Amino acid sequence: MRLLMTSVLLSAVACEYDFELRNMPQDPLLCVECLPGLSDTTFVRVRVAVPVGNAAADVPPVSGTSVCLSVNGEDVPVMVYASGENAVTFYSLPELSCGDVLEMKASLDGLEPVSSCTVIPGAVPEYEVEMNKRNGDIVIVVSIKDDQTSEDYYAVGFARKTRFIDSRGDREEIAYGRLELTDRETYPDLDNSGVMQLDSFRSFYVLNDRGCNDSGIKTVSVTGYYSKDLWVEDDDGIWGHGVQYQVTCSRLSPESYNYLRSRYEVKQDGLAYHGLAPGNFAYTNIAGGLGVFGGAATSSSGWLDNI
Amino acid sequence: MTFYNFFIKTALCIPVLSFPVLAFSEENRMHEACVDTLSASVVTADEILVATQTGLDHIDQKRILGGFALLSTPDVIKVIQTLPGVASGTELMSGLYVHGGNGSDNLFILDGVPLYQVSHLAGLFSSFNADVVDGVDFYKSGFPGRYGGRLSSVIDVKTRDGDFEKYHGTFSVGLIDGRLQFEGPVVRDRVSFNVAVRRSWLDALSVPGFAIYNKGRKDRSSAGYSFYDANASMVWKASDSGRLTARFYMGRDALKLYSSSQEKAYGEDAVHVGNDETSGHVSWGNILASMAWDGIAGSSVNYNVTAYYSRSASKIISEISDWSWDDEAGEIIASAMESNRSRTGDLGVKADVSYAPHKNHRLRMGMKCGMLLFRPETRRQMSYPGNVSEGGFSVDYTAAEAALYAEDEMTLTEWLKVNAGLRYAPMFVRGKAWHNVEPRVAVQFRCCDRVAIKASYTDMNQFAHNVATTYLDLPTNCWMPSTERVAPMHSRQVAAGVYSQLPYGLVLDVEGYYKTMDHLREYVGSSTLFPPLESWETDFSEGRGRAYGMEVKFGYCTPATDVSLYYTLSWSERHFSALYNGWYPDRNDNRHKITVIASHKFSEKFDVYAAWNYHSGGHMSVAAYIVPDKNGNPVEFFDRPNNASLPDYHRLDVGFNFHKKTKRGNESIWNLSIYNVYCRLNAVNAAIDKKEDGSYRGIAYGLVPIIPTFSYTLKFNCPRRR
Repeated sequence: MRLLMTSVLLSAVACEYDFELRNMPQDPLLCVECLPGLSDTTFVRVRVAVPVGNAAADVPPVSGTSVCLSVNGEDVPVMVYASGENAVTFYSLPELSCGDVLEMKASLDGLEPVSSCTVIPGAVPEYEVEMNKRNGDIVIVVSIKDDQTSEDYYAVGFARKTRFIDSRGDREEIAYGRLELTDRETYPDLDNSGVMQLDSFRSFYVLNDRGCNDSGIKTVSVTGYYSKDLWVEDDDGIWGHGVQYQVTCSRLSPESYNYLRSRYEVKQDGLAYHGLAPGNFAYTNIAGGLGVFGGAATSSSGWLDNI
Repeated sequence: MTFYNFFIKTALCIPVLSFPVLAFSEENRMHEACVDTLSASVVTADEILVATQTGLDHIDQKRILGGFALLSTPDVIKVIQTLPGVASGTELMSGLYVHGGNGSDNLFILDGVPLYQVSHLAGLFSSFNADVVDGVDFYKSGFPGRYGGRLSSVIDVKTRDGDFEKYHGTFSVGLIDGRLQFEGPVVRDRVSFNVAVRRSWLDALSVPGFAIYNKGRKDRSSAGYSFYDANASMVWKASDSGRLTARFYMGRDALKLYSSSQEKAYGEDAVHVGNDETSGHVSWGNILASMAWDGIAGSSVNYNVTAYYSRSASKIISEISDWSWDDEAGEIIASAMESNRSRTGDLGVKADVSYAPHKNHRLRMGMKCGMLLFRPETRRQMSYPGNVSEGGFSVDYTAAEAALYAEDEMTLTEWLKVNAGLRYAPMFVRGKAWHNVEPRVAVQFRCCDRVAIKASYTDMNQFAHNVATTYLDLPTNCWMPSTERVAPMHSRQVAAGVYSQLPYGLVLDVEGYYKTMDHLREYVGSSTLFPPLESWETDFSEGRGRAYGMEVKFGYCTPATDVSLYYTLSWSERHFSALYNGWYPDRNDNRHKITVIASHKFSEKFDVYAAWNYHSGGHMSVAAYIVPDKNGNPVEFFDRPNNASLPDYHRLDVGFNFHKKTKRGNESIWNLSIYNVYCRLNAVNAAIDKKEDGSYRGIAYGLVPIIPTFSYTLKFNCPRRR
């Protein structure tokens, strides 16, 4: 019914024509994305945002960007991780703890310099993982214990690792984001496109702490295709395949949450995108630019055996 | 003159030259009493000049019926949308965004009873049947003390009493709907009735159409929409000093959708056939009932006591069933059902008293108390053989509200009047009490017989919040009260202007306003048509608004010709920190608005109407920046909400009425109306697109083309029995 009503509304638009974009920004900006957390490496990705009102604007090469980071007022070294035509990625190795205050500045000749600050969120969330089989599917339920005295934000990610031992050898394949939400709660499903992990494609669910039950437990339930482990031992050895699952749960700072939600809204291409509803598109905490500088405290369940 | 007209003229410090049999002594015939407007329908421009009231427009039935009729159905809200200071929002819809308001902050009153669901066909028509509307008071500022509960405007609709002398009625047939109205005396000169019904017949066309389409098909579908409403009133002139009125209104919309597709499964021994089905049922509507006593006590006291009940309900049910076959289990049907219901009830009693202790003072005071009921509910059920899961949420708010007001219209000198009032409006819900004191002040300085300068200040609070996730008036929207976590919305408005009645039938008014709004609510959750009932208090962020502007009204009126020209220069902004850290334009921030309306009666048989509407384009959010992803593909980024101005909006509407008197003294009218004569496809939304040269262009999407319609109306008289 939701799809039908949405389709009826959107399909009513019949004719298009050009018009002049008035009062739009004319100057390019720096777009900086960084989600420092408790891992040993902090990545900062910088790109140049080209204004639609002046697409011919003179845009300097993004490789000329410089970035400064400080933790609790002390500068930390920042090095170039990768540099390309469209983006340059920096990395730093500060030892971060919950409550640390981070500041970031970035500049590129010809563009307005940008800056931001954030705080690493409190302790990583406590959560439990329960796995069950239902109707041929596997259901994984993550129960997060929420502090009901504060407003909290979380990100939950799932990974599935399949190990094969066959004629082609012993190998593993890891897939992220192949599990779909079980219930119909509108938790957003966000493709981070390498913001948190730069060497792999990952998806995670971003959620707030509203809707907790009376015990202060927030649950996320996902469902995926269930594949039973099959291991056979014969004279040639052990062969077959087996599956393991991993859950990562992060506590996000408000900036991280608001930004990731706004990016999700843009991808949704829903009612707000077509001007029929209010849209949460424009969040940024980068002064003078776009993007996000927001903390995240992450913990992982490790690889859990199949049921 | 009707009873209400008497109230009006005494209300506006106008010498009362004639009045109904009900009334008064000879002394009172010429007594000039001063009070603020009680109700309205036939107050003329010079009478408005006399009052302290700012921001008031009177719209009588003649203006509604003689104005443009969308799809040949005259409509109250479509007339109000042409007025200065009012933005209409989405084209064709019944949106009223008054002085920068949100659309859900307008108080609609039908014969003294608040109305919560004011539109049919998702906003295409309003719930007010023009055949029974006597007149409409539309307030944009300077709200009298007897009105409260909404921030931006008051639309006070009065229906006509039945004729006490003779029977007559109206029958009308249009492309979308048909109307029948009939009135007359139950007891001549004592008791009268007035009944009007209206019903659409889109379903009469769609149901057989789909039946023809489905014939012989394995996959079937159907759709049907209908609306109806009914107004009824009975008036009893109990005595020379009192009368009793009973009124009833009922309206309902229903939309039904159904589709099925045949599925085949190849079993071990045979081919099995079943159907996947999808159905949807949406309905919404109102019921209003009231009983009122109007009386006169002594020589200068008028009073009214009204008991009322108003109920609004909406329901959406969607069901999906999926058929499959298993050789062991047989036929397997998995189904899902989701329903959303919302009910709002308003039960109360109110009393108003008008008293003139002295020729330079007119006191108005009143009280109101009532119960508000808010009952939204959502249910979900999924079933699979051997497994049924259910879920849902419902909430029940019962609020008690009251209001006390008092105001005094004082004639300080021959050229200076002041209306000072105070309204106290508490509300209690779930142990939480909200107390609001709302001062209301208006001043009138009479420069000369033809020119007056007025100014006003008003405070308004709104306890009822329209919980909506879209800008559309959908049955999925529901009303919720203020709670511990949701404060009432609040506005302050100052208005001032110069009003003049010039020679040769010319009228010129210039009025300015400045308005601030606090504790506004805006949805910040994921894109959905269905408001999140469980978390509505937190999924709607709190913010502020401000609006200011200037309006110019110019009019020329003769018995045959009526020309009006309106111009509005306005700004409207919002500040919601959850969306953007700063002020940004409201989506209905139309900088300039011009309306030119002209009507001319060529003869008793032919009259014509034309209106040209123009306003600066609204605002919506479009991508302001393009950022390449790691593969160089463009990714859209936005800089602030409502950053793009849509193309300017303008259209021309014309209407022609052909009258004919029949031999029996009845009158038939053929109406031909053309909406959007030059077929300008005004933008409803926009996006950006990359051109071949690498630059970006804006793309506007237009929706509504030229719409010609016609209707037939018969005004009939019933011969009087000898």
